[in-house]
Amino acid sequence: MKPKKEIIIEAVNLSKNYGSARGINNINLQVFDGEMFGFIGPNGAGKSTFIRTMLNFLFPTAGEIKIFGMDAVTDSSIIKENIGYVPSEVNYYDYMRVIDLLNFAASFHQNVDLGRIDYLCKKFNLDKTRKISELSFGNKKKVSIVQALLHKPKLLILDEPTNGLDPLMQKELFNTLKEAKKEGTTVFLSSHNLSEVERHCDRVGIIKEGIIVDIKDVSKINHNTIKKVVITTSKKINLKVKGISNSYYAKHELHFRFSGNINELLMELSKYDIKDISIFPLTLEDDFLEYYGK
Amino acid sequence: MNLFKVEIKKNIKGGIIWGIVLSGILSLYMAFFPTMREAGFSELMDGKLDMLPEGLLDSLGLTEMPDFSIFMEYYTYVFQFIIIGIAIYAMILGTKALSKEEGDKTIEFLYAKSVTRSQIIISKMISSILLLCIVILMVMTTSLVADLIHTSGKNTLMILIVNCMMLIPILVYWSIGFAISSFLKDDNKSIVIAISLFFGTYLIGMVANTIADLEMLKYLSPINYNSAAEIFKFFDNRIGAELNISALILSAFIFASGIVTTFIKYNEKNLLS
Repeated sequence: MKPKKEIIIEAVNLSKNYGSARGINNINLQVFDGEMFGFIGPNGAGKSTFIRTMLNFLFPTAGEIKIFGMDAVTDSSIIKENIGYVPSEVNYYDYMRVIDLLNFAASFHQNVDLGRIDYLCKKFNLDKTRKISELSFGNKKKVSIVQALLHKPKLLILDEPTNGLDPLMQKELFNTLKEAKKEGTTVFLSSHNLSEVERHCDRVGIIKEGIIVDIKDVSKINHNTIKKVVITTSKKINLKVKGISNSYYAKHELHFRFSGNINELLMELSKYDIKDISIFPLTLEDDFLEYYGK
Repeated sequence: MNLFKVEIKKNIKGGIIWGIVLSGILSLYMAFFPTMREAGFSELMDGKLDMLPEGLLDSLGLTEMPDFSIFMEYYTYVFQFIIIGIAIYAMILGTKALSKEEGDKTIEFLYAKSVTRSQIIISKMISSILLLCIVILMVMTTSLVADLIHTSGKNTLMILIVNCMMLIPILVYWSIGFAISSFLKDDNKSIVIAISLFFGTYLIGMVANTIADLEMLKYLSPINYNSAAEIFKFFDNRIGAELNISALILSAFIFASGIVTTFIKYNEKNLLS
């Protein structure tokens, strides 16, 4: 029998409403030790509100959220000893140099290996001597990533971490996250970039209008068993094969998902005048768009 | 300690500039003391000022005509304007303390670290008190140097007493500033709020001194509770001189309320993006 995994983040009936802005409603979520959890949703869906409630920037209106089994409100400062946070917008003290900011960040944690700061700065090609005010958005983001990683946190919370990073740095970031994951760090990744979530995360939560509409195991998103099929025809056709779902016509294109026997489908198609056919694996993006009705 | 150091580093330059400017103004005024000491000038002033309405003299802090030939009477008259400067600085320090981090959004960095909101408040309070002390020490040193030059240091103790006693209204404005800061979402209007509130209440205090029926309104202006001249006369054992004890109690109450309000409000505040 597999040992039960420790719960790192646990939201129970968590709600946060403020003013006219949409918050989050009755969220129930568990993130387990050592997993990389993706959190996706469009702008205004409640991703940041959830993260800000986790970090006690906001107080819950109802329900509770626990991190490492401790209450995110009452034990917030103890919890944060083991959290690294990369915000979507980076705002640091402009008058500081990068190294001052990193030393300041390190001073909040015990026994930080200062050699690790050098290691991370080299890894992310960050000049420690520059003033924060002189940095581009991408470089500020790198500072944000380094300060979140320097104390080897047990939980990393990243809100749109690749915004502003060039592709090389994005790759370096995910390599670093994978290394951290191997060492036991749990990663909570909020992102708009569905392919990056699909590539790197173990599970993914989809949030819509403040409600979590689905939590998926990425490895079980049916890449192989379900295909997305697009057929171009001269006139409308009615396919009679088992395994067709979500079908609709757009112009002269018939779109559908297919989970049946591919030979049966090809046999059926041979009865019609087909101009073109494309078959794609199903992606997280397809699931996501389905929830958002596009 | 880390937060405290960062706060000091961030604000020390501003504090020293305030100290230099206020000390400079004080030095300039005190440089006129030898002229004021000349009996002829004093008599001339007395004669001219006696012609002014009593209410106007009250509002100018000339309730009982100071004898400008006496160092401490001249000094306390000048000092009341220096105290206005320090009180405004105290109020600005308070109103910006918490709101500036929210306006700059640097507070998100702190909130993500293992530090409680109360620890953030305490660090900011201690560092701003230290900055105020630096400004007051600079002004006090200037005062002592002026005393040394003009009276060979005969009034050292009295200068120390007056300076220490005037810390009371300064701390009252400082704590009001902190309480306001805990309600603000950013620091855009913090200086305007601090200055308007200070001068608003100061003007009410002046009006209260001028019109007997409105005397109670002076309690809205902490800087008018016990003036530097009144403090000097009380500690100089002048006949009839007394301290307004109820005002001192009220000062302690406002100070404590400001601190308590800051902690309560800030600890329950949502940090909106």
